[in-house]
Amino acid sequence: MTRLAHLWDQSRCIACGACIAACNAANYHSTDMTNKTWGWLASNIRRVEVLRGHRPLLYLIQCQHCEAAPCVTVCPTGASYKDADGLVKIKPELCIGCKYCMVACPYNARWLDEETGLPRKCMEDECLSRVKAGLDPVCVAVCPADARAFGDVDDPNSEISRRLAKSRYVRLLENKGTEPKYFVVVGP
Amino acid sequence: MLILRVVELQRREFLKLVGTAAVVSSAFGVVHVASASQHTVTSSSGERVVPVMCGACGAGCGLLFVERNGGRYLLPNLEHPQPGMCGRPASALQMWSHPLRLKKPLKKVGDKFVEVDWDTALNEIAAKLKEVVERYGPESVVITRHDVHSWFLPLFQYLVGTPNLIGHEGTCHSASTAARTTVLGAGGPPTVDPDYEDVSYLVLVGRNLDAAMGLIRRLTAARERGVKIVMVDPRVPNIAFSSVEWVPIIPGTDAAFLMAMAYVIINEGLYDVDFVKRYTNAPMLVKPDGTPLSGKEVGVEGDYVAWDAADNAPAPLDKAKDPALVLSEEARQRVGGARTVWELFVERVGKYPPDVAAKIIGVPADTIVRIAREFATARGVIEDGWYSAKNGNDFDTYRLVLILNVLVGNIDKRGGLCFQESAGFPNVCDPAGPDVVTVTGVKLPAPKAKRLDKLLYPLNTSTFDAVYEAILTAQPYPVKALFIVGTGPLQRDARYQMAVEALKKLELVVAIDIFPHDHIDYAHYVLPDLMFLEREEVATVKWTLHAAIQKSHKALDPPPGVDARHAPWMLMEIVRRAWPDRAKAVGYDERYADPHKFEEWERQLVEAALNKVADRFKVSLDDLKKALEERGFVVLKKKSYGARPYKTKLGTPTGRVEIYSITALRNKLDPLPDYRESLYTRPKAPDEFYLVNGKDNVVSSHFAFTPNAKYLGDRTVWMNPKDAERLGVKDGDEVELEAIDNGFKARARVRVTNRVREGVLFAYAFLGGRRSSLITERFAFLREGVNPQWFTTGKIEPVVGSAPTNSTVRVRRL
Amino acid sequence: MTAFQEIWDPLLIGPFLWLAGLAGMGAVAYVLLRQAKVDNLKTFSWVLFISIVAALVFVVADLSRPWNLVNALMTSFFTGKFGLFRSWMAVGIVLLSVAALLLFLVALRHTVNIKMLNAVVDAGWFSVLLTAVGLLVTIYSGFLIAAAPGVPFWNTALIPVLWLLSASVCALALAELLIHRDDVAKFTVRAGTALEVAELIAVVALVNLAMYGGTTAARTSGWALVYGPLAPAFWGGVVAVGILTPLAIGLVSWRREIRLLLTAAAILALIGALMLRIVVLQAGVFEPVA
Repeated sequence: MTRLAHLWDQSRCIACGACIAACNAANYHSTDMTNKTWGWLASNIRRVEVLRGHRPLLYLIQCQHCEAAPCVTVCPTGASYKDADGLVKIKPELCIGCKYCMVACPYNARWLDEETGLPRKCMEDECLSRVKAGLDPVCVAVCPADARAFGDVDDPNSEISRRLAKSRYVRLLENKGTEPKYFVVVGP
Repeated sequence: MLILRVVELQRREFLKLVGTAAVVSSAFGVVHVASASQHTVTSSSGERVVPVMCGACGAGCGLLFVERNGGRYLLPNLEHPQPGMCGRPASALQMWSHPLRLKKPLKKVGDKFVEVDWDTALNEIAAKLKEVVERYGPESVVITRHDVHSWFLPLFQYLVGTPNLIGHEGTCHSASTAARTTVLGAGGPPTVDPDYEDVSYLVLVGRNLDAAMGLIRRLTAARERGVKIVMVDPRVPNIAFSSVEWVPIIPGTDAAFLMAMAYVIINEGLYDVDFVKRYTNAPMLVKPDGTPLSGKEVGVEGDYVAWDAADNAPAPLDKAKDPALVLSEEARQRVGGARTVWELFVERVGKYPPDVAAKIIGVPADTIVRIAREFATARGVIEDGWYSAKNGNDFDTYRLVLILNVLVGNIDKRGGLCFQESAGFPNVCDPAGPDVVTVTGVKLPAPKAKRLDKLLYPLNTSTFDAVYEAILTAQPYPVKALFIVGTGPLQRDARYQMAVEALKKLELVVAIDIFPHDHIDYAHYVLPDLMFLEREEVATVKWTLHAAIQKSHKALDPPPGVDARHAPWMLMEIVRRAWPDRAKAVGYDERYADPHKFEEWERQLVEAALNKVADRFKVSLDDLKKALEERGFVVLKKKSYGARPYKTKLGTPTGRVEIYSITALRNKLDPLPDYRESLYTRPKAPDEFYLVNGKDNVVSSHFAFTPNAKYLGDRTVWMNPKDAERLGVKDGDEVELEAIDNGFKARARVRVTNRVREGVLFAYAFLGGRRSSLITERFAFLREGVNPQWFTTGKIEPVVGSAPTNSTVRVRRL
Repeated sequence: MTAFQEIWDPLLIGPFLWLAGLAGMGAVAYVLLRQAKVDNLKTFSWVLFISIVAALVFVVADLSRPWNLVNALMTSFFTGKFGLFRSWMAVGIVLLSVAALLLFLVALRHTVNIKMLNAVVDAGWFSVLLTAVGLLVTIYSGFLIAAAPGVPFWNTALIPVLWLLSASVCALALAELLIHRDDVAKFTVRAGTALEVAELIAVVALVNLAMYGGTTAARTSGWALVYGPLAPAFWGGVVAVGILTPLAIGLVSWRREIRLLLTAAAILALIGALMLRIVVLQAGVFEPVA
């Protein structure tokens, strides 16, 4: 079985914004359209700063490609679906724009693209095309701090598997029962 | 799939790959980046990949411009010795198509801008320039720049005949460069740098590595091995979201911290005695008047003397077999009471035991002790500094940084503070006797007058803030014309109000840029430049220890409606129209009035430069050009360790590391560093705060304009939660800041965050508080926030010409 | 504070839920009124049909891809991807369509005289079907938002129950306004008062449990309603106007009904129910990730 997943290393991330801006450049043609859902730029990655203790923590949130994705369950037409490669994708021809997937996602990982009415999220067309061609998604490709990885967690030799094997990692909002496949590394 | 994945992995080991051909994996296998300036890729997926040098900040990381599936974006060039990238070039296409981009030449008529055609603009500028030069002399023309076009500009400068090509360094790295020069005989920030991939313990004092990303990549290798990173900074820069230790220090007190570290290291014997004796001037004897004891005075050769314990007699500094760091009483009498540099330094350091320093810097004594011990026992590196124009006491701070690295003997070793291998890319003009000769061998007369800022600040790199005063006072001579090329003086310099007054007084201000920075409003002529994706450029790879050069290829034409042109063309046209003979002397004539022909002329300059590089490294010019074409870079010589000061002397008066700086002494500065108070008034009342500024990897002059910057840029003023509670300020409240030193008032939104220590406010520089009249409603966010330079004292550190950009403000809740 | 969800427009989906509940429990009320042999149900049935049509208009107005509605539904039906057994929204699409059809037949039956039509609408099985569909539509309108794990304030079993109570109050209010028979009036007053009490308890439970037993996001939503920016709409609109006033009028009218008061109570209850849905939607916030 193939289960493609993302890894993000919170202990390495330097908040350089490359992944966020690159997603906008590659998947959305560098549009300046406002992402009103998040009050953000048109990118599939958003940034959360948690002020806590001596210094703040950073979280980068994007689609978790959950194994038990609520957005897939609630979609009336099957537009939101989980593909054989483990990624949660969208079929625009089946999407009526009811936005149920958007309210169902506990991570608020989807945002409304006002031009097409589609509930956008990671992974978009250019990244899907790159993955199909054996390349990394752009967020992984641009990261200068080695804070990202992508690949098949069912393949023990993939970079993501090897990285997970030597790291401590958590998943976000696990108690929601979503079985997220976005692994947040917190240290070695 | 597996083969391609292996290729992906190999690409990550970029430094180990000397690289024979560019490999860019695609759906259909490995492809070559073809030669010729079209750079089409021979793959049926229709992909186009072009190596470019990033111009979104001044670091110049290696990138690839990708055109794929009808879209365009940038990726890092993983084989480049300094691969990118950060959020700034990721937003480059937004810079390229920006609605506020300067599109056509503009002329100020009354108080409005009018579009004019290129010929009109260039002719009028040339006529005015000629008139100014005739009336006031060529030195009345000043050119200011940042990093962009910095290679070419001296040619324009010498064709005009002015000494005054004065850059941005006065509010950037003048102080740290003066430290590198006086202590190590080195130069600008990249000439000495940590060997990141092998570093064992890294301390960053006021340096946040927001540039270059190539350095971050190298640091990652060290992180894999568990390097510890310590950030000493009044605020948390973005890198400190990752696993680092943050030491929140009171602004302006870094030197006291470093002195206390030296105290611990010396006291506990954690320093490298051998290195100190053999490669520094620690054993040098200094007379009670502070000048070095000369050989003549004690009957030995040379200008510098040490006490040789082996012979129990004075000896020339370089010849002593066992130079003493501390003298016996008997020895001291025999040298007329002279003391060694070491003794003087230890005495100086003795003023800062950890518990005394702790009170000055606001950091607990045991933290200082722990870090000092960890640093010394791990034989770590303290980064030598880049932007250092902070508090007006920065020369000493950065000297101490270097000295601490020296104390643990970690110079030019693997994992140490290393000298960069020089690519030796020749300057476009070099001095030749009394004159100047271009890289193509043409002699030009040297300017007669002296450069304005160097008259006041002999050890500086540049101090543009001195120019504003010269404009207003006409001292030492009148300044009447100013070319502002790819730099934003009003965001950059530390005398904002004086700058505005000075700009208004000039007879000719020509601004060459891509975006409407604040100074554009004060220009008589505005000429739209190309951005980095639109031009070809050959340059040194700055942030690598190897000797390397790179070529940035042209990826795109300017978008429709943007009649931007190449700045060197504009400047040569101005020279040709003002003084056709001078232009002709360098082979530039009217056929190059067609901007498309200009590249032929420019190429011969670059080719001449590359020829010299090829000669120097004994490679064929053709091979060099081919590699630059195909790969975008060439590594000419890999870093070889253990050269300076071991096998080669340093470029200092003694040839050694100068803990006691002879150059400083000659310039009437304290030859030993110390902790001195900041040049600006410090906070005294509970509503007064330090205002510190800085950058991050989501801040740069160009990036600031992009729509992405509306969200990725932070135009608030940071305040610590305890201070906020005390003042009754809540997150998002608007406050008024009043500068203690110059009375300037401005409003800003507060972000209550623990990213800044108590007593300190932080605001990004070069980001918010923009005031250009060309900013439209759609980009109103550019006006949010403050420009930290509004609040500065305007005083300048003596001799090294570094102008502090930190300040003190009073906060009033609104 | 985490921002309120703006994904479903409270001013479009709020009325949608209200109108769907009104039509749903209204259909149940219709069946009961038929059983009580109330005649002249023409206005009542047209109001129900218009409600369900208006509900559909409101919900389609919130779609971000309405031009693709027909095509997407047809494609997903015919390729077997329609989520009838998976998604409450899919269930809702089917139920609302069926309810609209049934209520059209009902309204028509009371307007024109077609033998076939009368036979169908008056049949026993039709009443059972209409009751079931009406109940299901009301329940669906609650489950729709309760099944969204992203918004903890909605994600409670209490919402479908509260919606059911509130919609029942609306149906009774509708009967009060449109049906003028004493036994009906007495029933609506007493049943309405009882339901208002139940509704009050449910609202208190919803908000109290969110604030004192809920997750961070639920607490934020509860706080916004009780003390924060939504407090005037909540206390004024939902509680005072929508529940307490009709309740008070109901108690006063327990023995003796005053036409004017009861009309006022019905209108206020209807307004309150609409406001309830709007503020609950507005108050929704996503759980903070960290």
